Amino acid sequence: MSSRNSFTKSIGEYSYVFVFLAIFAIFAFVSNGLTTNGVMNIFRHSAVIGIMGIGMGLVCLVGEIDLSVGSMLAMVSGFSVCIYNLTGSIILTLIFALLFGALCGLINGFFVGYVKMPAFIVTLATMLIYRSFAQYFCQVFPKTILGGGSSVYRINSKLESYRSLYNFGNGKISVVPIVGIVLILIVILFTYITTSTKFGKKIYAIGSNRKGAGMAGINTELTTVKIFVICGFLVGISSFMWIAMNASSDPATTGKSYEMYAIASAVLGGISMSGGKGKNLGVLFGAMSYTVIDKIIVALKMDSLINDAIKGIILILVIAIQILGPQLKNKLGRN
Amino acid sequence: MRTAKNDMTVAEEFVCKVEREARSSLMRVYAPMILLAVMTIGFSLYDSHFFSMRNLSNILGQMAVPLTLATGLTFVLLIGRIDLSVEGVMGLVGSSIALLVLNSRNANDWGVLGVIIPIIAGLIFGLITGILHVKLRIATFIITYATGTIAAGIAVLLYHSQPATAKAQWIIDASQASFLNIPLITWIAIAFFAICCVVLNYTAFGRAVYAIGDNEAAARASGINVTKVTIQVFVLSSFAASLAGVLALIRLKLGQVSLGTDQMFPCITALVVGGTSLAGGKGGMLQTMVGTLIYMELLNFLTIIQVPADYKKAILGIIIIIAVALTLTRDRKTIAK
Repeated sequence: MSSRNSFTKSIGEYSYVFVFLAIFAIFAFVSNGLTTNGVMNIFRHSAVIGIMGIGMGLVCLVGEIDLSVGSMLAMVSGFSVCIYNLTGSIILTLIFALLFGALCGLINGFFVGYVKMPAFIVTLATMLIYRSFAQYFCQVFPKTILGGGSSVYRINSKLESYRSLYNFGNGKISVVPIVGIVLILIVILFTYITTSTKFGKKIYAIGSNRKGAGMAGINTELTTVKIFVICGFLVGISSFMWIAMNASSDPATTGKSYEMYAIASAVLGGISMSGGKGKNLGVLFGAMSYTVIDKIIVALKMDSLINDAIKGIILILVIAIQILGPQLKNKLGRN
Repeated sequence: MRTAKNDMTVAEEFVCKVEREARSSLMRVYAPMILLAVMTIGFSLYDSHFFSMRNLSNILGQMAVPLTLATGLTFVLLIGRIDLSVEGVMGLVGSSIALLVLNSRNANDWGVLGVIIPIIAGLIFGLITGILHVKLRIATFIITYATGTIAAGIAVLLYHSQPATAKAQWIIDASQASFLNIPLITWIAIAFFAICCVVLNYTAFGRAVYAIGDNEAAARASGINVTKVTIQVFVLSSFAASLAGVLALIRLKLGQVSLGTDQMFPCITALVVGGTSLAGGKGGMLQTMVGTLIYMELLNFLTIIQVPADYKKAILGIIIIIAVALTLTRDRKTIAK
């Protein structure tokens, strides 16, 4: 009996895996069999949104929200392209992307943590500000820095190191895309941080009861700022991957509605928006579920305009299953 | 003015706390109004065109859609929820009306029915959103995002990426009609706003909305049907979105999803700047009007002094942060439900 109980409990806890498997099965069915390439592409296409989703997951765990990540992706990737065109150094570009992302996160975190403004409003404002900067500087910077593109940041492909940057974004180690490996490493790292470190315990404590956590001696302000900085740092990694994969960044469209995709991945992965509940591991499956849904829509040759609507319906269905599933099981168990 | 000290009795501490709360609520009500007055005077001094009759009626004309949306969203924020679906519902209603009345794309000419049916569709969306939220306990941030994208998706399917231009005579008349130099659509928005004022301040429904926002458990314990009121609020919000869709269509006449794009976040900003709390229970219709006016004046002023569109957004963002930091009493919890 007890083994059965723990079994049903783990089903409830890891429902995001089953949701992913179900969506994956549909994908396998509609795309007439799987190829190694097709499956590995799921990792590749989940990488950017998955890493942003991990950051968003942390922010949701402390009960806050970050609406600025999409615009941040546009600005950080755009400016990173400029740095790359100026220096031709991959390392410098990476360091810039990470630090600049962390700085953007620090700005959000400062207002949320220390000025104590609602995260919703702060990040809504920075969402406008970051996107606006990306668009403005794209017209102000000289063409040589922009890589010759008009109203788009383009990487200068004549630079010596371009080949290795391209390889990072599009290359594979045996069959696994490099960006997919980065995604998995980051998921492992943050799963470890949230489950097995003091910092992780603090996150859950603040998320479930901020006042109580403060009384227990946790510096809630500082921890909140740290979370936003980590979220910005992860957006920095995403930005670097974005330019390595696409070799350009359009300030008007890059990262548009990505904040909603990231939140949806976090929620699909079982993280509660009111904070304190959920696992970071789930975000990986949430992001992959979202990518697979995209692929199903492509495989079915549906109108791409209806894409978001279908994602919306699936989002509702999945969350409904996650919520109703355990309730149903309880009822069945009682009878 | 007393401040909390270690050697106080419990009673004194309580008095202190009550005084502090009274001060902060006074600040919440008056700071936005002072801000509005300072802005109006400052802008007028800077540029004499700002306070001209022509510019004021221009501001009022642009205000119709945001005011309507903000009025509906006030109820949602007051119960501590959020509604991201208004953009999608607005686009759906606007574009389907354009397809049903006399238009450039098909032979439909349904007249009044062509307006009523889309509005009912909008209301159904609000009903579904409300039911899914209260029955499944899905956070409104996610559920309304999902229903909003579904509404926008249906709208795009309906007109198949070739939006219709409304050609019905009443729409053309309505877009040109004005009274006292104020466009008709603004009068409709103001009428809707006035009705909602009465509903919020003088009915049992309005009191229930405040009670739920203040303390949901207490409201439920005192016999308020929280489930019903929450669903009603979402239906009301989607009615406001539908009405905003009609008004936007009258203004622009081209029925496409982008009627609603980028409308919702500015409205929420306006509400918060006006002093409505994202945590629920605090705020009201006066704050909604003040906040919307602040937002519209600012937008108008940035246009008058010819700020390029590219960094208009950045300036707006910076001003939002400053305004909220100045006016808002500190709320910790936001948008969790």
